[in-house]
Amino acid sequence: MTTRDPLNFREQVIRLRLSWHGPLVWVAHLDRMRAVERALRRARWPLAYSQGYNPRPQIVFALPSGVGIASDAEYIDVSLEKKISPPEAAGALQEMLPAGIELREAAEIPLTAAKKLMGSVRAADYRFEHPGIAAYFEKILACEDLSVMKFSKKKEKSVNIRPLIWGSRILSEDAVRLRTAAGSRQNLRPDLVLDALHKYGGDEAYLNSKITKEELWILPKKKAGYLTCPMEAADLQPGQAPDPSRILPWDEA
Amino acid sequence: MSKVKLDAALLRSVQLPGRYVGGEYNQIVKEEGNAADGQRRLRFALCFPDTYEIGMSNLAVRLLYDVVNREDAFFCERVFAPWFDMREAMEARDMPLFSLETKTPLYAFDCVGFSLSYELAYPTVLAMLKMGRVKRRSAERGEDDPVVIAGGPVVFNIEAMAPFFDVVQIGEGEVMLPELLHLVRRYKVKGEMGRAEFLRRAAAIEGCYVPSLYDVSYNDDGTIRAVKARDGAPEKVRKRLQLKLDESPVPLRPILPNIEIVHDRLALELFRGCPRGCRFCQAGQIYRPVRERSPEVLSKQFQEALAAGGYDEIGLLSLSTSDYSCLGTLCDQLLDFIGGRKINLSVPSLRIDEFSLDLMERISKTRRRGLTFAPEAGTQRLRDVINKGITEEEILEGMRKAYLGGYSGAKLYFMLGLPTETQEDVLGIAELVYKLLDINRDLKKEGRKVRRPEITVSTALFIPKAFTPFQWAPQASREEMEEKVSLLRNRLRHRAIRYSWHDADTSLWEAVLSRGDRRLAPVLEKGAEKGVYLDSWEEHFDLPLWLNLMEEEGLDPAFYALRERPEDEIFPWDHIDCGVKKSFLLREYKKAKRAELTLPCGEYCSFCGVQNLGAERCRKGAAAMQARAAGGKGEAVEEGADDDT
Repeated sequence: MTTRDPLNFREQVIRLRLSWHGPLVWVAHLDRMRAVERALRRARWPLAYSQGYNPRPQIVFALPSGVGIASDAEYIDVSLEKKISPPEAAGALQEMLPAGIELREAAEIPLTAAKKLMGSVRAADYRFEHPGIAAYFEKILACEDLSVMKFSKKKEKSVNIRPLIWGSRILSEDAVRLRTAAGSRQNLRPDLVLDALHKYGGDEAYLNSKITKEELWILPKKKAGYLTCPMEAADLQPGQAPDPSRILPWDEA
Repeated sequence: MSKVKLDAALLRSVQLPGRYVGGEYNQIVKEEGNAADGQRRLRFALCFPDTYEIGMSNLAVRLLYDVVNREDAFFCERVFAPWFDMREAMEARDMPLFSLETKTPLYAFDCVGFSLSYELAYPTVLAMLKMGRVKRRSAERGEDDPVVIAGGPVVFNIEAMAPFFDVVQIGEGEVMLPELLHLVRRYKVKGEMGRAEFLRRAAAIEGCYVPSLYDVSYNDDGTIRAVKARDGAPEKVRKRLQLKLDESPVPLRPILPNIEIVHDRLALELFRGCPRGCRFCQAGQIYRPVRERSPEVLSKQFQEALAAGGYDEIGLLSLSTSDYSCLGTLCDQLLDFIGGRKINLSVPSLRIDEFSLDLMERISKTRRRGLTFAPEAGTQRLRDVINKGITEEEILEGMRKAYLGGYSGAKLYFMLGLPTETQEDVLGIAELVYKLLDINRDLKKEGRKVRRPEITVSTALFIPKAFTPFQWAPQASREEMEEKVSLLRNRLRHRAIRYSWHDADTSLWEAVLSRGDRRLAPVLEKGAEKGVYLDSWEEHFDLPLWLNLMEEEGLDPAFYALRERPEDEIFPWDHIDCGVKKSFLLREYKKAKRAELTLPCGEYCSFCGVQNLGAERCRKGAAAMQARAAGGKGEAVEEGADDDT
C-alpha cells in the first residue's frame, strides 16, 4: 500500500518552532493563528489552501496555547503550494513577525508526517515562575487529589489534575518545571495549575505567575516506544535513531 | 511619567485581554525624548468611546493615528473603552484609564481627543474622562490639565456635550488636527501662552469650534434666542474640508489588531460625500461636496498596505459605492492584483443594477455572499419624499436578475416613522416584499432555475438629524413606532421572510441628543455620575433613567424629538456652517412634503451652497446648470439659489 498525501495540492510542508512572548501572549488560539497567517503572507510564503467553498491556508499548531501562556515551543506545520528553501524563507518570516514572537527553527518535513502533528502530541513541559513558587509546588504536589473547577462553554465541572502532572523539577526557589499530559487524548490546561496553587497553596498571589511552554513531546510513530520533540522527529530518516538527549521514554498503554 | 502596570492576574481575570495589551504589528511607539526642534514631543491620546473591536474598525481612528504620528513633533497613542469586567477590575485596583502604546494614564497626556461617530456614545466619553482622571468640564480644567477635543460626524451639533470640550473640530481632521496640535504644543510644551489665549487662538483655526466662546440665550418656550460669539471667535464656524483627497495621506502600514475586530480588513476609501441627497441622511449633507480619490493613488495604496499588513480581505468604503466614477477601472485593477493571492474583495453599498450584479459575479465565483438593498421606504410616494431616487421597477428588475444569477434573496433595509408616513406606506413594505417573492415564483413557473427565496427585512426607526432637510421634522412617538412595527410584523409572517426591527427606546434618546442643546449637558453629566457606561450596547441601555434625569432638569424629550419645528426657529447648531445652506435644506423639506425629487449632484446642481467651496464636480455641475438656464431649455435654476442665509 502506498501512502498518498490526502491534501494533494501541497508541495511541501515546513515545520516551524516559534517562541511566543510579549503582548500576543494575551490572545487566544484563533488570534494566534491569524497573527501567524498574516506574518506568513507578509513574508510571501506560497501558502497552500484547502480546496472548496471557503479556502483556508493549511497552518496547523501542534498544541493550541491558552490565553496568557508564553511559549518557547510553538510548533507549527505550514503547507506550501510551491517549494521554498527553508533558510531563506525563514529569514523573510523572521522580519515579519510581531513583537515578542521569534522564529527559532524551520525545517522541511515529509508530507506524510505533516497531518499527524496534532494527533501525536502526548506531553508538554511548562515552566511556572513567581517569587517563592517552589515551596508552594512542593506542598501541592504532595497531594494526591488536586481538584479544581474547569469551565468550558456552559458547563463547569471539577477535575483532579494531579494524575495529569507526570513529573516536576525545581529550577530555583522561584521557578518550577512540570511535565504534563498534553494533546488530544488527555491534556492539562496549565492555568488550572495556578488555580490549584491558589486553592491548595492558599495564596492568591500565584495567579500572577508567568507560565511558559518549554517543550512539546510527540510520539513519532505508532508504538515507537519513546517520545521526542517535534523538530527532532522532523529530521529523522527512516531507521535512524533520535538524539538520546531529546528522548523521553514512553510505553504506550 | 507614571505608567499603568498590567499584571498577569488582572489580564487572566478578564475576557479578551488582547484588547488591553497593545503591541500590535505596525503599532507606533516613539521614544521619550525631544523632537527635532529640541522640545519634547506633544503627547496626544486618540480616544474612541467604544470597545477595541469597534474602535479599531473605525477608519477615522486609523487615518488620524497615521496623520498625527507622521509628524516628528507629536506622539499619538490609542485609548479605547474597556469592557465592563476590565472597568470593574481597574476600579478595584485604583487604576486609571491608560493608552495601549505606553500604558500612560489619560491625565498625563497634553491633549485628549475623542473621535465621535454616534450620539449614544456621549455618556461613555464622560465615563472615560472620569476613569482617566481628567476633569470633566472645560471650565474646571486649568493649566496642568490636558486639552480635551473632539471631532467626527456627530460634532456638527455637539451642543449637548459643549461644556466638556475645549475645542471641537468641525469637518475633516487630517489637516485641521495637526494644525491644532501644533498650537496645543506651543501652549503645553513650549509654554508660549496660557489656556485662555490658547482657546482664543484655536478659535481662529478654520473648522475649530471653541464652545466656551459662544453664549447661548433661550426664549421662554425653550427655543434658542441667540448664540453670540465672544473674544473674536467667528460668528459662524465653517467646516474644514480637504478638497483634494489624493493629497491626503492614507495609512500604508495599517495596525493589525491583536484580536478579531468587527471589520478586520484593509479599507479603501473611494470618495467622500455622496451625490444622492437622501433627505434623512446627515452624512449625505455634511460630507458634501463629492471628492474622489483617483484609482492610481488607490491602487498604489492597496498594494503597499496589503504587503505591509498581510490582510486577506479588502473592503471598499464610501457612502455609495456605485457612484464612484472609476469603479470599473478600480475593480479591474483590484481583481487583477488579488487573483491568485487569495484575497477577498468586499464591496458594500452597491445599487442593484446590471453593473453591480456583474461585478458581484466577478468578485465571488465560489463565495455567494448575500445581497443587500436599502429601498428605505415601501411606497414610491414615500421614496420620493425622502429623495431615495430608486423606483419600484428598478428594485423588482434588480431582484429578478439576482434570482437568475443564483441568489436566493436579499436583505432589505427600510426605515419606519419617516415624515408623512401613513399606514399605507408601512404596509407598502410588506407588499414590496411579497412582489419580490412573486417574481421568484413566476420564474419557477417559467421553468427557470432559481433557488428557494429567502428575504430578510430589517427596519430602523427614523431619527431626524441636524443639517438634513428633516431637521424640522418630528420623530414618531414610541407608541406610534411600536404600532408600525407590530402592523408590519403581522404582515410579514411568512416562511420565506425574516423580519428584524430596531429598538424604539434608543431611537428616541438618539433623536433628543442629535438635535439637542446645551441644557442637556447636566443630564448627561448626571447619567455619567450614576455610572452609565457603554449604553449604546442595547442590553445596557436604560431609557427611563434618561427620561427621569431630563425631568429633573425640567426638560421634555418631546420638545427635542417629537415636535415639528417652525421654519424660522433658530437651531442650537445654526452657528456651525457645514457648507450646505439652511435655505437649501428648507427648500428640500418643502419639496419632500410635495414628494418632489431632487436630482443627484453631477450633471445637475441644486445650489445647496457647497458649490462655492471649489470642488471640481460642483463647479462642473453648477456651470452646466447655468448654461442650461441661459440656453432657455426650460430648466430654471432653483428659486432662492443665491440667497445666503
